[in-house]
Amino acid sequence: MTRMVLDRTERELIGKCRLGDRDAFRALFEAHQDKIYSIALRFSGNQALAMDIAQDTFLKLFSSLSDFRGDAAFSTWVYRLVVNSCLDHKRRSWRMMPMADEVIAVLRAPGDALHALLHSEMQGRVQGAIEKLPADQRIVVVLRYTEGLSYEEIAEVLGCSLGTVASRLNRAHKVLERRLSQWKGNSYV
Amino acid sequence: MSDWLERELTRGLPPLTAPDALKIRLGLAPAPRRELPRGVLAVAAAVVMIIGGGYAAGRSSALDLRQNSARSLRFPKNVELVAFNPASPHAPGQPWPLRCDGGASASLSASSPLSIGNATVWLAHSASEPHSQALSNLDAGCHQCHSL
Repeated sequence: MTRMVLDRTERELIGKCRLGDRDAFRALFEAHQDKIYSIALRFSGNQALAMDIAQDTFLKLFSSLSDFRGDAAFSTWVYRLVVNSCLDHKRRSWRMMPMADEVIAVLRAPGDALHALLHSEMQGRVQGAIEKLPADQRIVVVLRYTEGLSYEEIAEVLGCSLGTVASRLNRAHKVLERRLSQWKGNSYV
Repeated sequence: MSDWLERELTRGLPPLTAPDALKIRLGLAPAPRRELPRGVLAVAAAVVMIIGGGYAAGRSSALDLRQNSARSLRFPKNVELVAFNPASPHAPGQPWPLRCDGGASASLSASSPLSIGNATVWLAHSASEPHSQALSNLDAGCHQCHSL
């Protein structure tokens, strides 16, 4: 029931956007900004690049709303747009930079920051390990662990089979296990 | 995949909040106005006034003809210096008074450089073109009498 209500609201919103309703654009943006930005930043590891990817995604979203036929969920369509933006930017190639900002911010923070520091360090290592994965493995890892999508949903977003998703995730897990296991002893509760 | 890795990946890749800058970049929110501190504006205004006041004071001193020192005058044409005030005819060897108040016209001799020592030089406005040209070459620094 909730999903039906949300779909109807989303349909109304999309309809208003197609008529050029600025408030509808803003509402659509606010409904999806965190999701799009999260994927962009987790994929690229660079805040400036993530902003570019997110901006490109929204511009494509707003400009091609008329192309959305409703044969898939709107969120699936949004995921496809951001994934394509991520891969487009990757193809133009950039230098991957680890997200050191969080670690530095914690180091500068006063008070008892030991636990936060460990947490942030491990997060930095995970992010760094993700960034070294090939793009096709990296995107499935981000969709799975940042967005919590199921294998079926990931397959629908990427337009590939369930087996392909499983295969990519399996290969990514092996690489990540190897790269991160050296810090296994530093795990925190 | 181990449970440990599953846990680390879930903790290490949480969703994030988009910054406000994204909304501004897309034109969905106004850019924040940059307000200058009031003190900066007051200082800037004071500096402008000081500079303007200094310039105006400098101009005033240039306009004070009594501060002008003597200058050696040379003229491209033959001009004749004539004392025009019958009440005080010019005595030979005495400095030539030249008024800059639209009164007597004056012509200056161009045969040799005319040094007027420390006398105040007033340049007369003249409707006559030759005088105008001659007078326009005089530079007493008064900045007033050259638009003839």
